[in-house]
Amino acid sequence: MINPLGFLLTIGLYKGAEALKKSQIIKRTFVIKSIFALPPIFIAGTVLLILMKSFNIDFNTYNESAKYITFLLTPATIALGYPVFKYKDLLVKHKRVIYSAFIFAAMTAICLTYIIAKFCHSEYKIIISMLPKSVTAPIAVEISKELGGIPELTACMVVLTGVFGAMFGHKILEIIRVKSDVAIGLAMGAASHVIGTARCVEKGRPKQVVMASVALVIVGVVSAVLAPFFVWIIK
Amino acid sequence: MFKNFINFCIGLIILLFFYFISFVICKLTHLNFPPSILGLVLFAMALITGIVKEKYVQFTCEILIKNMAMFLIPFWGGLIVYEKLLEKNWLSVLLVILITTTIIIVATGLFVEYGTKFLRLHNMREQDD
Repeated sequence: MINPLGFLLTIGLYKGAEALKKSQIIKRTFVIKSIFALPPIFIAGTVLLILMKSFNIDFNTYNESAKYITFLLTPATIALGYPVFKYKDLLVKHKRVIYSAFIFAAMTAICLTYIIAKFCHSEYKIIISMLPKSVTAPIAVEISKELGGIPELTACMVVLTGVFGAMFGHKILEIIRVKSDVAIGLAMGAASHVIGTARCVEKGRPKQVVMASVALVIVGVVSAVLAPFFVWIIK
Repeated sequence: MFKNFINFCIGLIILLFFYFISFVICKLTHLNFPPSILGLVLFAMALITGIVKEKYVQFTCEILIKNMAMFLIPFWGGLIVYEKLLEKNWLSVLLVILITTTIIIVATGLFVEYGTKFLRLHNMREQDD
């Protein structure tokens, strides 16, 4: 009999965080408001870590049933092909700028991450796990596995990057006076993937959402092609 | 409810079938490439060429993409195993996140904003000629 603890804990925490975010039960003071501005994955993940630490839950016990949730990540990656199909007209319309921007963004992300991590004298394994951090999580995890990194660390980096980008992305773009929806959407999708896209949904700009979802998929695929080359070069 | 469940399963089987195909391709050609990303590309191409009808996969895709963040939570749990490694490298992790994300947002935003403007001017000039 499989221990269902991990499965239930994961779904419960995520759905709970999502429901809390929508509900009006708790009085919204400033502190609570800013906690709820964080994406549910961040809240659920942190609570999970605290619970595991305080109740001494072993990771293997947890993962015994939680691995069935991770399994769904594979079809979810493939499902990302759907937004590309749905918005293919936009891709054709802005093709020149979009494709150069995708390659540009993917290359900047990989090179910069390497330079800064090297500058801080990180271990090789950690650098490799951080390389795909601007890519949407399922793709990033695949790249990290393929290159010999630590998928867990990659997943965490991806979420943290997404949270940071989602919270400050629109502000930064406002400061540098980028105004077109195409540019904002692409920047958010390329830098902070799904979580940034979700932020564009909250802002209520459909064109940004479309550009961001296309950007996050294609930057992911481009990075998957570029990252092995990059690692081969630095070796 | 039951109909939705069947709908979801049909879509899931199609998606897993694409994973299977790309897994076999990667194994046969000894390609050093994640199979699920190859599956993504093949799936998008199959949708565009009409091999797979949109109505069979729409429901599954929407649900999977909406809940994608949830599938990542087990990875957060896995971080506990790498506690020591993180403690040693927390500064570089933090710096990388803050600096690269800001630069990517700024660079991509400017690139696209001025790229589109430049191309628009360029196209107008071509039309004038």
